[in-house]
Amino acid sequence: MDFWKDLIYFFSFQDTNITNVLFGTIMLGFTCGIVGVLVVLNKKALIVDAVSHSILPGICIGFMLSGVKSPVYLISGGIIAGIIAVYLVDWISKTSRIKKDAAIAITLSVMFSVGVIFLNIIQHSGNGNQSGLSDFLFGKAATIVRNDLYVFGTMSALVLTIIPLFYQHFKIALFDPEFSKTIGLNRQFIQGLISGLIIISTAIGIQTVGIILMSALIITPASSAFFWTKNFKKSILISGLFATLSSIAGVFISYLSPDMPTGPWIIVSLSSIAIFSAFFSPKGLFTKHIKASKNTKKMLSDNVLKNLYKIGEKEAETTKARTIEEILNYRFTPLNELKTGLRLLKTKGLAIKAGSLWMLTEKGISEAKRIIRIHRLWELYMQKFMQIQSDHVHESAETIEHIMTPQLEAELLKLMGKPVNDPHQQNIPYED
Amino acid sequence: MIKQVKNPIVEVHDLTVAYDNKPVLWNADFSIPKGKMVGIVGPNGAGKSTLLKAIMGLIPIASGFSKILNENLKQVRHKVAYVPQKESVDWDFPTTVLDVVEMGRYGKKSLFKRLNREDKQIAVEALKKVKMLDFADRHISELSGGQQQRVFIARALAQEAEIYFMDEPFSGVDMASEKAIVDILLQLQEDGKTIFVVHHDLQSAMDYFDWMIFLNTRIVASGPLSEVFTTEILQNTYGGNLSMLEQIGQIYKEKQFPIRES
Repeated sequence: MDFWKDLIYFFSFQDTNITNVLFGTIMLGFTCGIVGVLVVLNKKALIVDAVSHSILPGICIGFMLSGVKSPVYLISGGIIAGIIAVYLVDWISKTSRIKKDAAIAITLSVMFSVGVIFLNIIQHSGNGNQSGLSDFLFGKAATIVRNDLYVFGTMSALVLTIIPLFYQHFKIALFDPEFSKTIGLNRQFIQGLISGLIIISTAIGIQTVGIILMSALIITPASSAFFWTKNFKKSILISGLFATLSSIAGVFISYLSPDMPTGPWIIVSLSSIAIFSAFFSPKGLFTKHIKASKNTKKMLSDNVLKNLYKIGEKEAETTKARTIEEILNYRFTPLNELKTGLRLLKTKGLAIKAGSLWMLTEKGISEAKRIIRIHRLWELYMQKFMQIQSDHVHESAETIEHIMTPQLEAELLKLMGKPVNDPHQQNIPYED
Repeated sequence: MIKQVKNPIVEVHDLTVAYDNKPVLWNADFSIPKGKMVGIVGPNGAGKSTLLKAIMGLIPIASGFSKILNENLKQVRHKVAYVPQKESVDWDFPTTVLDVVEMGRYGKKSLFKRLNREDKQIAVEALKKVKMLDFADRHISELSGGQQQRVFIARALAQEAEIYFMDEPFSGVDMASEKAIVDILLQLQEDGKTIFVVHHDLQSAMDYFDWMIFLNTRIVASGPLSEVFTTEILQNTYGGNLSMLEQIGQIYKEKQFPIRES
């Protein structure tokens, strides 16, 4: 199997090039993932786009000044341009009537076009070192070399120090800005810190994923993480994990087939995680669907159980075995539903099948009694406490009987005493 | 009628607040004695929340000042707790009920420190007081409006302050929560705390408060309930705006004229 061989070789770290790219991308992914949580919760996700586009002229100037593609110069240039962009957005929205989103769009396009012009000038300058500079547009992970790793490492270390250090600041200021101010937290400082984190992670990120996909690397992992946890710390860790896994996947895919670009595959992996989360997380669409189908099943089996018991209740012979026809005669249920219901009861050990006959087990009788008891108690409750006529209470009790918990039932019994009959003068069954 | 007191716990002096250079609160000047339950009432747009926010340093002040315990807010921050309107935060934020209440402990503590056992105990006690201990580990998005409000109040309790400023704690709140909140406020007052509450409903205001501030872009009255709850003051508060103030405010805005000469 070629695939397994490739996989083993890939993770054996024998190839320095692969190792450089892999570690660079992992550092980058994790950094962007955890910064993303702050960005999304700060509700200014668009600023990432402004920063990433604005970094281009900075990188170009960094190159013009140094004449070589040294990561220190390029990233320093990028960071300075990023800071200018953040200030520009702030300044425009504060001093003019232009709103923040428009200010972001203006800054983004102005800075980016300046960057593209610079890029053109450099490309026609005849400097042979410039080849590959345009990779910043779409990103090219394969260009990561050992020197880049040192810069990435320093930047990641910086981010990984700031976030734990100011953890409480971030949490309180992002959740409740007004409250944070009243306990003496400097909101401008926190906002500046978040902008700084965005600029740093963007500056190291665009070499790999490019200017255009940069915001996805920051926003998507955080957005996916919120599906899985209700805890601030955990969402930071999960977001970092998602981004790291996607980075590994992206690098691995482009290693398997060298025509495949790394950056876009990182983003595709991230998006797959996001889609998966949207469907299969505890709050996901598919999970909701499963819940709904479980509920339907529960209603079905409860109802069949009730009917089986009630036939017997009429004749005072609850343990007697019944044919399917008898059950259908008592209350019509579509045949396939009835069969599903009976099958469910059998698997739960509430009913057994003997030939073509069905009968309740002891457990089944007690469960049937419980459901009917709740139904009838609830009817009484509605009549007594909610002033609802006795001919209007049945419908509501039909659903309540399936969802009442033992605690609530105990409370209900305490409230009602132990009444003998329901509003329709039917006997309320209790355990003997 | 504005009753000034000696040794006030909160003193507001000629406070004017403007949004976009248009004054929305004119020359507020009053003083409140310690240990009162103070209701701030007035029509919509009267500047009730603005007054609270200005005292708490959340919005810039055009002129005047306020003093708490005869000090600037900065010196006494840890003795003051503020409960914002619950609509001012995003309740989808990834955090639990107990987490939010524990935030209150950072009013007295450096944000770089971890909470110790005593802090956590105080937070739990605060949750118990608002009858929300069963919800401690719930995500805050799972709460009803009244429960959210109670969590906010628990956070303020965890601050163990001397003075409490609450912005509309009774709005959008169910009966059980309202009752729970009133009980807590009474308990706080019994413990000698001073409480300011922005309130909407005049009917219940009579039952809850022993000091009232009537507000309609200017202070109409401030004093003990029995002295200020009069037909005349109610009419002045609710009987239409002073159109002169409105017009002059508009001119301030259009000309972007300085609110004070210096």
